[in-house]
Amino acid sequence: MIFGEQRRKWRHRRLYPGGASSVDCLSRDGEIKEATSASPVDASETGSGLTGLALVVNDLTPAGLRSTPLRSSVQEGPVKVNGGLKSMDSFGKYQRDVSDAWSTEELAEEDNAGSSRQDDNYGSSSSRLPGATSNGRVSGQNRHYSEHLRAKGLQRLAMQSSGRASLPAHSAIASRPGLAVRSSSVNANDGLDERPPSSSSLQSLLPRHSQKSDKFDKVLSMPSLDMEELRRLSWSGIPSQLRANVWRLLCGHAPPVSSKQKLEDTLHRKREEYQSLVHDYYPKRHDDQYKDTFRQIHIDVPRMCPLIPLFQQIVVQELFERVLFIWALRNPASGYVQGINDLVTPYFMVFLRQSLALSPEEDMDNLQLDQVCSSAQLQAKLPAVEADSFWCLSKLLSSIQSNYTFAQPGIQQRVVQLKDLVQRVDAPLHRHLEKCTVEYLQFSFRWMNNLLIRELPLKCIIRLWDSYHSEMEGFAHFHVYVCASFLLWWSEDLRNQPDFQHCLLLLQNLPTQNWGEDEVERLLAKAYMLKYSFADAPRHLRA
Amino acid sequence: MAASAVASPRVHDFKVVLLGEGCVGKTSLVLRYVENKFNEKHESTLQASFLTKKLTIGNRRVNLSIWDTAGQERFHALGPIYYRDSNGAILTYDITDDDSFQKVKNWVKELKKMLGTDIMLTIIGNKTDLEKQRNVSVETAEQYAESVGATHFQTSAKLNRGVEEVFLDLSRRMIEQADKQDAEKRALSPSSRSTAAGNVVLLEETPAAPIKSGCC
Ligand SMILES: Nc1nc2c(ncn2[C@@H]2O[C@H](COP(=O)(O)OP(=O)(O)OP(=O)(O)O)[C@@H](O)[C@H]2O)c(=O)[nH]1
Ligand SMILES: [Mg+2]
Repeated sequence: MIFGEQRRKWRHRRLYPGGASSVDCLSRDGEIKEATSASPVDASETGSGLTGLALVVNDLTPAGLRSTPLRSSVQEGPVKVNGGLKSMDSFGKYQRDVSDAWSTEELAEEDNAGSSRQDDNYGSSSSRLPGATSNGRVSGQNRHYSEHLRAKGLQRLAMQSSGRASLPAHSAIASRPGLAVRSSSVNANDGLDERPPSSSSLQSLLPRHSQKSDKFDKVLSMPSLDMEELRRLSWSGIPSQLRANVWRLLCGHAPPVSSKQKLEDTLHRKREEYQSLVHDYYPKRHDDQYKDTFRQIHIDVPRMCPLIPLFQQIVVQELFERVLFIWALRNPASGYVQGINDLVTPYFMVFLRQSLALSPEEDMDNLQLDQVCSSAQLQAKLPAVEADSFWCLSKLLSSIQSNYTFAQPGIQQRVVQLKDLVQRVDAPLHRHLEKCTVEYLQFSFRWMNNLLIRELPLKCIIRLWDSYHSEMEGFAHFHVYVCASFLLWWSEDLRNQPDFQHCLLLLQNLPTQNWGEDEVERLLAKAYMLKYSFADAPRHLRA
Repeated sequence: MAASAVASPRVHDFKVVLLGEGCVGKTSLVLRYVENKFNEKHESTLQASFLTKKLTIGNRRVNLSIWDTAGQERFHALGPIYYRDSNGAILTYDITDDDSFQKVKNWVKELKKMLGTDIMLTIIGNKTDLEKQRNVSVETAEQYAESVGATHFQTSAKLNRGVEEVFLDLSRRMIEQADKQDAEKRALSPSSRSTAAGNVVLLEETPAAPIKSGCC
């Protein structure tokens, strides 16, 4: 049957993800306070413009962990879900209702204390994205509007290229909460906004390799690194041989200096720091307090990428287990959540490729580590790959922490944003999904939880992450536009599906196995267009 | 009566949800049932995945919509989305893992609390091929199942033991339940309605009775 066929194809193209990053010892202490009309300059991950309550996450160092906690606050606009997602309205209530059935084992969760409060926060306040009220009332006007958006977006892309044509949308963007672009745009002239394409048409999104490498080389060799410029370049794709270095920079794992010595010193220090974390804390995996966490990691890692020999190798699996366990230990607010394991994969693959000096063409799937180098070599190389993966994962995760805390408010919020967006830009599709009673949460949860890693081939994900890393809030915010763009991609196919079953089976097994850079760049171009066009939407469509 | 039933077999659309701790074999069971396949290695389920299966029982056609959910606690809050209008739930534990049996009990409590007795429950002890490492005794599990009105089965998704039966039995019980609910509805339907009309409905529906005990 269809499912079998799709599923099979699906298995043939497993992707491996990776990459998150985080901060040290972020944890939920459950302090709730009124959001003081949150300043958009705040680097918090999402929706700071949303009204209502915001949760301030304080550091909470798990017993025995001594790292210096970085302060970080995550403000989450509470999400009120409309119509189709009724069930979400009542997560808080639900949790209270059923908690007695589960009273015994929930205690294992380190962050239990904070959860009910956050939960209240989540469930009791309501706030909607501006404009979201157009719910269901999509007129024929909207088709024209989409066309209009599209034209505008293309125009904008073209404009971008010719230098500094700055976006009139800036102020609108900065002042608009919710879906509006918050990232870099809070600062009207921070230049990041011009990041995307570098020459005069969509064509320019396609990499021109050698030329491109030269540009990167130039930027990377300047005495003090122009990060803006590096981001701008990276947005449209990083040459494979430079990717590992550039990702480390964009993540903030490597310092923005071009002095090789300084760079190496810093990385060396961080790698040692990671090693000592492993040394001190990895043995705790058998402690009562942590054994459930470790168990979950330990049952998930061997199930990753089942078709890829590289991932069946014990050294690789153990590396993942250490990275994930140490991360979980340091981030008790969320702990390890399934899906985070996938996020390590892109980093691991990119850093490993560099470390083993594999050519860009080399297929890593079938790589037998013990065949490409001696075990002594491996022992010399893998620790740096592991440590860098850990730090970059940590950075990434700190930007989307609320995706993984109790009830996963970040994901729910993003799913609502996705829904609102699609409703506005592809009303027929939205209506069709509603008609089939398909809920956005049912298919896009995974898109958010795993950052599309289970939906696209790994090489596509890696390319996608070039852009995510170049956006200020690529993983938290731009990702929603990419998801919208991804959903719109299948609009026609979906509208041809007669009912819930067919829609869902398609959505769960989207045929992307043959996707390559081209597709990703079209996906990105559309997402970019949505992001800016949306911020520029005519007033009557916002209300 | 019988003739009319043969002419137009009734079609039931049932929703079934699989719940249980991570790694007990929920996905393996469904894949075995729907595609008759088993993989030693496949991915952990995130949130939930959706599958369908059609079957025929006697003169009834059944379309199963199956939600295979993720075992990790963190996704637990999403549970209601999947079980809320389910007709049946399959609660799975791993016979080598007593913790996973305790989780089943929690799910039972939650389902009873949220859905009452409308939902048909099946409890499965999976991985019977690992009999030597068994940690949950059959008697304990059966007793417990009986006490909560659930049916208990033992399966091995790996060796394809007992899997088909689980879904067959559950489908039968869901049919019975649907018939019962129909009958109740009719009984409750306003007596202001003409009795004649009510009878017609009853006649059409009567063939439902004979399916209850099948073979296999
Ligand atoms: N020996 C044995 N192993 C099994 C059986 N069923 C499943 N497994 C194995 O148990 C592991 C977990 O199976 P899954 O089907 O992924 O478990 P799950 O309950 O879906 O797990 P989550 O998706 O994480 O909730 C896999 O490695 C399977 O191969 C069985 O009947 N016998
Ligand atoms: Mg599963």
